[in-house]
Amino acid sequence: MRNRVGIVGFGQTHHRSKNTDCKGQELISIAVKRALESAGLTISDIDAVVIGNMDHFESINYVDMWSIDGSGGFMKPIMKVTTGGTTGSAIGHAGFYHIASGLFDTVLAIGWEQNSESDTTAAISTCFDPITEREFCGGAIGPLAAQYTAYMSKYGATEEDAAIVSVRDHKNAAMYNPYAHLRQTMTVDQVMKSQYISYPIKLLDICPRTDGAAAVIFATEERARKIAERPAWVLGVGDCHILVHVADGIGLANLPSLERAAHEAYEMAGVTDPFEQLDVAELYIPASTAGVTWMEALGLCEEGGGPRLIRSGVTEMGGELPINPSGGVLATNPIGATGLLRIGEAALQVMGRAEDKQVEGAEVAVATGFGGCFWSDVTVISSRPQLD
Amino acid sequence: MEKDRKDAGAISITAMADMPYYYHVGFYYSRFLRELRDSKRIVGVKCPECEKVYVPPRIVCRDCFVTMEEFLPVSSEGTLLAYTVTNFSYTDTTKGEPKKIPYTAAYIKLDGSDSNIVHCLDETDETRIKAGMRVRAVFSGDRTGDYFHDIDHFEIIEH
Amino acid sequence: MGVMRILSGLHRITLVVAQSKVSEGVPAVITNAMFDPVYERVLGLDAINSSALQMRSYMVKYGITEEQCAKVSVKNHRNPKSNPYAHMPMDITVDEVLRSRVLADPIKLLDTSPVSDGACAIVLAEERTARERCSRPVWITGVGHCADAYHLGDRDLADADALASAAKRAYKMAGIQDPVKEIDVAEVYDAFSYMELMWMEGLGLCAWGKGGSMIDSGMTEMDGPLPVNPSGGVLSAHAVQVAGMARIIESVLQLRGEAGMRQVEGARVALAHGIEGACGQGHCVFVLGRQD
Repeated sequence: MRNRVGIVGFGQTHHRSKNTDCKGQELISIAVKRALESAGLTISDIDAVVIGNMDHFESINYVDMWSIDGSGGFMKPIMKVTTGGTTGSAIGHAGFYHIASGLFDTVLAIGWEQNSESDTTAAISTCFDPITEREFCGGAIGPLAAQYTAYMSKYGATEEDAAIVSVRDHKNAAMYNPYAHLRQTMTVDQVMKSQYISYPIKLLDICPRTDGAAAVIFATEERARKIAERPAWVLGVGDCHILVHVADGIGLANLPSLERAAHEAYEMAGVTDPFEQLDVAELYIPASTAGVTWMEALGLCEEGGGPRLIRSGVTEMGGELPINPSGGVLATNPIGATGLLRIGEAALQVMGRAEDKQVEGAEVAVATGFGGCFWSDVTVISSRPQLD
Repeated sequence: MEKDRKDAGAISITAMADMPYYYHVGFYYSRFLRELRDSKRIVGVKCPECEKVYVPPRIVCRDCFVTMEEFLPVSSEGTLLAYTVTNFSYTDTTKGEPKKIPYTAAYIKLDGSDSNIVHCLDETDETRIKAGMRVRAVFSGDRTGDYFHDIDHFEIIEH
Repeated sequence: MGVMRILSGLHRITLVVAQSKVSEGVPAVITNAMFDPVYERVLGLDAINSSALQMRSYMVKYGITEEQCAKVSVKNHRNPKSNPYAHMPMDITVDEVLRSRVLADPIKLLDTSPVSDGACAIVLAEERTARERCSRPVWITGVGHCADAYHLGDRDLADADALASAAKRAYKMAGIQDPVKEIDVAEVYDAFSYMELMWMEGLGLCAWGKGGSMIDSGMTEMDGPLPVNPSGGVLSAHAVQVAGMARIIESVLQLRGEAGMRQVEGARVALAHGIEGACGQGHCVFVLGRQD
């Protein structure tokens, strides 16, 4: 039988646009300390550390080395993982594999970013082919915006469908998540009237740039049961990178990498009917448009059914499948931490420790990561060690 | 703990990193850029197994993972798949200067190609653009083989 | 990470790829960016001059000489004359190394690895698949990694404590009790000549401070009892992100008996080593064994 992997601790900083009172290592140390506290552990209980960010955002090479004063990795095995937007989710998956391999018992996974420290849009643009694509793509927003024009044209979706997603996620952040960066409610009308940043994406459709850090503690089954009364079990992981040239992905209107990663993670976890089996989702939705277009890839609706799903209200708090009780990426986006926040928030839900943002009775959750040239990570987490 | 330290006279410093790169564009892109510069031709490369044509040309087919060697020209006309009118500026890392806005990023499938390219469109009024429109490459007068600049832009083919 | 994916039982075969085009950037600018932007970067530290600090402290603490370090360079440029993948095989003398241009005292040009472009890939498989699909698989029997403190001033640069810890983990997993006796060949990350001597100490392959007398004894030469870097190591090819995995590949070739003219006869256990950060802040050690 495979080694079971549990999540036993999660900590995050109070996210904001500029953390001028914290150097990067200090920011990291806050998330680490909170994660250790939440699990009732000390740094000496940690066998290995995984850490990552977008390395060119702060222009610090070998972040795993530099961060040791904040991560607690001194004289421990430490590994850097950096995979663009999916960095946070890939760090989570690396933490998972550290345990699943049987090499380590308790592992600390850390994601962080000081987005305010550079022109991060320029930095992101370096993920595109330098010769033929970089100067046209327009950072992270451009390709997402273009993808929605293809989706609208193919399925008749509207800008208003996307605005509903934005209203939902911002409302959740404002009402339920004290750690969120943007905590401001808004109306569909306000979103629709905000200025175009990159048509059809408007100012209120897009995620902010955030300074923040997150840390998640993974443990073997034996350790997890000792540490936590109700650990969160990682039942499935899936990763998929598909394209070298981002232009090839845009015209597709959909997100095949997410479909493939979800398929892998669901199969491993035993999820056969995602809409029925999942109780809550923490999705890496960097623009409200993606909250419409990517739902089908997760198997939550039929092809082109994003607008119907979003307008039905089932993804709101109190609905059948609440999406982003934390407010998600639209409210908080410290990129290297963003995917790990999804895993941490999903774990809190199934551990019953999500406080104000708790979805009643949540037992099975999905978390996703998204990045760069349209690649995806999916994690299935549950309070049950296996699904029947 | 974080809150206590706010407004405690925290200092921020500026670092201007001068970090140049010298990209070797390689055999495939060199051929692509030379054909654009010397003959105003857009060339792709064809997979010997699945026969998909890739523009810009590249060494291996992403599905079959075999080396591709057959270069062939594709049309300079194609279909607009997706677009966005970019209204925010950022540092253009190819030049180190702020990007001039607005500009329209255009994702285009050229006739005869199975992959897509991204370039710019000379129309920045989103109400006059639609996915599915036909577009055509307009070549630069002064062609240098530098980046993808020997196509100056794409224009909408009027009906 | 590749090893963990296989050990998890979730993946049967994993492809691990590394590539590095050092020639496309400016190495000094890039390695300067491994230092702290507030405290250290403005000092102008890079990979070369920070290593010069380490070489000096190693020489001072243990009485290692520049000649002894130069011998490593002579060996690791001569060995790769039989390695078609190496970037800089050449015949040089200790005297030529000592008289080569000083880059950052005491590091001279010929103590220094070159700027190389390269790529490499390895295929990992779980045991059953490996036995089915491959007639001569090489087994990863031990792996360990560990990192020291970040600020150079927080470390005793003359001792590779983190390497000793990483090696201990790897040896424990591989069941190695006496590494000097049990290891037949080692591929060690010699970005600068002195590093091979220091890392041998950290790996427990010679006593602390005895790296100099070890090279004098000829122990690590091709015809010595423990040949080190038959491939020429990093001194003769340094595609940065590739060089660590290249050490694993060379070890595999040795264990399969496919190392050609650089073959160490009868090699059954090999060690591959990689470093990260300034002056070997982080280390990774692999122990590999032959199919028997």
